[in-house]
Amino acid sequence: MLRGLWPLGLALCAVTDAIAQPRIDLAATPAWNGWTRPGRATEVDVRLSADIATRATLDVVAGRQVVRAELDLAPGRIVRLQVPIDSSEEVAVSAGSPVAPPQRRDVRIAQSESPLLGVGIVTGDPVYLEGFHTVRLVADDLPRNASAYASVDALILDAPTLGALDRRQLGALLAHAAECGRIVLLNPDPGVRHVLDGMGGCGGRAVMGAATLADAKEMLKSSLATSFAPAISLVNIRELAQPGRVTWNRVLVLVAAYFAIAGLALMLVRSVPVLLLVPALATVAILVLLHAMQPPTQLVVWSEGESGAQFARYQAWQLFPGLVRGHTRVPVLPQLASARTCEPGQPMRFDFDADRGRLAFADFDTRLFRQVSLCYSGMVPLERVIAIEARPDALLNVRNAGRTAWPSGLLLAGGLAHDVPALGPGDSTIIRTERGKQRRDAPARMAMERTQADRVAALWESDPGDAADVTTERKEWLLLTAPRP
Amino acid sequence: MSAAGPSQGARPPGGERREATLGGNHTTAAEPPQGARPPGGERREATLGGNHAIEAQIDLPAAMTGLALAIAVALWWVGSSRLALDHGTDAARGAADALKTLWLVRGMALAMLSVRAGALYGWRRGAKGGLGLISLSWPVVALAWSASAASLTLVVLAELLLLAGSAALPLIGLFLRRWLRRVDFAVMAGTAIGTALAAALWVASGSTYMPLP
Repeated sequence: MLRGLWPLGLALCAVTDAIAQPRIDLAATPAWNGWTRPGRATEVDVRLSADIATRATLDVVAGRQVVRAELDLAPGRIVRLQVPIDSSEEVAVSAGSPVAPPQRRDVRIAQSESPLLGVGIVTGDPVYLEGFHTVRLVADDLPRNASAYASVDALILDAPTLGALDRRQLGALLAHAAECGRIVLLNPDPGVRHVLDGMGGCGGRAVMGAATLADAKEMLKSSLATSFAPAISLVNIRELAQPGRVTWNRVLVLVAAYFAIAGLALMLVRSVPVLLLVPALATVAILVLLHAMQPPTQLVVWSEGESGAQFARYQAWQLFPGLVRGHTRVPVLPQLASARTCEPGQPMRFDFDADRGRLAFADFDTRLFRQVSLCYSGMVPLERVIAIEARPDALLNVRNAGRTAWPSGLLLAGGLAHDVPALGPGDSTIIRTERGKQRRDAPARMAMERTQADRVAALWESDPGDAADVTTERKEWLLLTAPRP
Repeated sequence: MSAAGPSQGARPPGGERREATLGGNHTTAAEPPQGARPPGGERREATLGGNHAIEAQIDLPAAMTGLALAIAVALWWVGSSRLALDHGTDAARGAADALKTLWLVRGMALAMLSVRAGALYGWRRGAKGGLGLISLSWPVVALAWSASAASLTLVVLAELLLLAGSAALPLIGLFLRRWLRRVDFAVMAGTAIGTALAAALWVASGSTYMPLP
């Protein structure tokens, strides 16, 4: 008889196992030791584990932005995610599954009004830089997302801290260096220094090497006297994008057409049913037409670098024109890095791809005339080298000193724009400086604003070519600066 | 029975009554023959020989007023949206203002015209005039709502309130006419009440408790 009970016992055990609730462990720590600056992006490091295999949903809520990730948790395995977020004093991290009670952790992030100086040195020597708030860091406090480097204004790192960084942290640090982040390396390993020098944007002036902490502070002080090219504001981008007035024009046409029809109906028909039908049908027709005529997304990419540098930094904006009240879900462009919402006040939900460690989709509400935008930034390999030589009689010899051909573009010198023809490698052209034109268009104006007085610049507008799909209207520019001859 | 009707000489040729307009001079609106006047001195709905097709005609001046209001607000809203787009600011505020303005001007015009029209021509014509005034702005309301952050429920409720007003306000005029038993007194009282309602709406629109769209 007891033998007969064994299968029953086993079955009961299996059922108990099946209905057992998994226990999810959740921990969250902010990057930069919990410091950031108002309006700057940062990052939260989330660790998740469960005692039995389960599917969990992670939500990170920072201000009006939500990042959601779907995760498969396996017993004994800790899933670690570094989630980029907007600056917010309170970040709510919660995880739950259909069969497990939700877990929630509140992360506090201090917002510094003063510029932040991140100091990652193992000696623990006190560091004070006038006007800065110093944040002591260990290697694990440094973020894995390049966008999170926006939280700090300057960084001092020593060799042991650099050596303790993992691959993703190093990648983010290199991207930050390429984007002209001020970094002082304290007695770095020559190999690391070489890599960072090669990557450093703004002519390598932002990445400095120092032998002592005192030297590091002095270097930072003198570096702060120089302003590197700041990030481009959204207002300037709108000028660059020149968002077509397609939507506005269409609305104007629809309204005018409706009024014409309504006026004619009033004059000619005059019946009460028509009086009700015309506006009712026009309302439906207008809403249907608005739904049907979605204009293309705009992508604006502005890259800039120094002649001869290995990398150029770029900023990109993906603009979604709104037509109707509704909800939109768009893929985050995988070929561009550090995606985020351009306006922190804009409510947005991102889907985080845990496998790739990046944002995959963005969800947001749209309405007529509202343009929601996603911002990207990063670096791209740069292969163009420009050699400019002054000649008598106000002539400039412009030579393509690189290994790739150039398309036709503009040379900006002395506040004037000169047309430069397409040049193959080694080819050159002569520019008469007095024959330049005052260009008033947005790209030329932006290029001149971003070129220092002691430099000349070349501006190329990229051909969208076959990279552009029909739903995206691309505009790309590359600004290359070189010393003035 | 003391309603002051026009003299026979004011009647159009053929003795037919024309459709009198909301803004028209009520003394020129032909009254039905005394014998046809219903008890209590009310005027019947104007008909041209009892033609139902004509009965179903709109009140043109009221509808034109509604169309003019819609055009004016639409022009203002479209222009302000263009400015907002050019300056990179949020166009939703202009759209919300357009919604509020459309509701307010239609509500005020409805109050001023419908009570008076109800007193002059009865409920049906008053209501038709009100419908003409309100309905022609619906596409503009839909577009402005699309561009605003206003809740759909609130906008729909506001339109329903206007529709209810277009049905209810002529009843006030009708009641005045029956109560005062003289058209000229009823019209004066209706105009006064309509103006007071419009003024009250204007004052209330400034209140934070007024749930305008």
